[in-house]
Amino acid sequence: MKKLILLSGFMIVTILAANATKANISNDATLFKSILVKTDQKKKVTLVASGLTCSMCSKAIFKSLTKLDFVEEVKVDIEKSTYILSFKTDSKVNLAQIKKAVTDAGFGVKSLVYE
Amino acid sequence: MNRQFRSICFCVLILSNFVYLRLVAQELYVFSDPASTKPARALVLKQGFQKMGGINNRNNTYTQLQMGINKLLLVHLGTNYTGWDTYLQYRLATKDALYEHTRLAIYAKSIQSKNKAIHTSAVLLDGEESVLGTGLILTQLKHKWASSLSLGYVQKKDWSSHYGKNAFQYSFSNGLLVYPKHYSTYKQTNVNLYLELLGQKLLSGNGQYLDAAPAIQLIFNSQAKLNLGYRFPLLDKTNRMSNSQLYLSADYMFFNALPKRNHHN
Repeated sequence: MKKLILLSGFMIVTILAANATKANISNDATLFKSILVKTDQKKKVTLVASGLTCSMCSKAIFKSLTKLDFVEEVKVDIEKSTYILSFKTDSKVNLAQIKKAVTDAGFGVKSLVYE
Repeated sequence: MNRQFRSICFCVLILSNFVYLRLVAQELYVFSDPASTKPARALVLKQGFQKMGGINNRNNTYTQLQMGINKLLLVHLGTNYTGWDTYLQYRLATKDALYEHTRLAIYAKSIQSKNKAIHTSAVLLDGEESVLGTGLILTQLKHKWASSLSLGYVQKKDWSSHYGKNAFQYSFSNGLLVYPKHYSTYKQTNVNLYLELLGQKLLSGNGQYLDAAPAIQLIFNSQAKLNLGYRFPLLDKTNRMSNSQLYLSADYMFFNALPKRNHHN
């Protein structure tokens, strides 16, 4: 029983130690209001996702983004969790839907730049 | 120092190395679930095989369907062909940042079995008897380190007053990516190693067990997994029917498989 208590203590301490460094999360609530933008193919969005490191997680986001009906193509840098979205001609780009696609995949949006 | 204590120290040492060697972390655990849920509308089909050791050295074939109902709710439906089980997991808290997250989830599970194990003190979770359970899972991914702790309660649906009825269930899981060193495409095969500690402390009586469960996992096309693991006791003061198992499973994730609800933005 003593060993069990020691082991439990180790587990709790390791979890708490990892928690000690607080994550620096930007409050993005105001950045991602539903914005409808009429666009041409020259416009793109560069999105950095948060909360993941593995390729399976990255693919979940990729699949979710490619399902959006106004998205033409998604280029991805897996290691940097970065996605570059280009859009269909004369489509309406909804930034809120882009954000929702990422959160539906189980992750967050660190930054999103429309240019 | 007895053998069991040396085994525990060995496992703690390996887990510590996972932390301090700063290897790439993985939380797609083989013997437990992380607090992270499945992507919304994803469907996972899983087929498992268990070769049980101990008094009951039977083979167990297991089929499971996992569904990401939405970004917070996960449902598993499974059968080992002598019964069925249901598992619900809801993500209570999420804190995401670049290359890190902290997540807390609550789960509930029900195992319905044709079998009864009323002469066994431990609460058996591999289809040997009918069980209800609930608990919390805390998972932290931080750059190169992923760790998950679960604490729960399990109770037999049928029990004898001479034997155990309920237990405190816990697990501590760590994993790392050993290949590839750098991601370039989704087609790269991933090789992951895991070490999990799985324990149970009986609440009626003094029995308890603590198992170690090392496993290797291959991920193909960032979509299919092949898992091979071996679970064995570090300490066992119960009369459970099986105290070790060789585990093999394969699963495939279908992204965006479930119907989409209409949203009007």
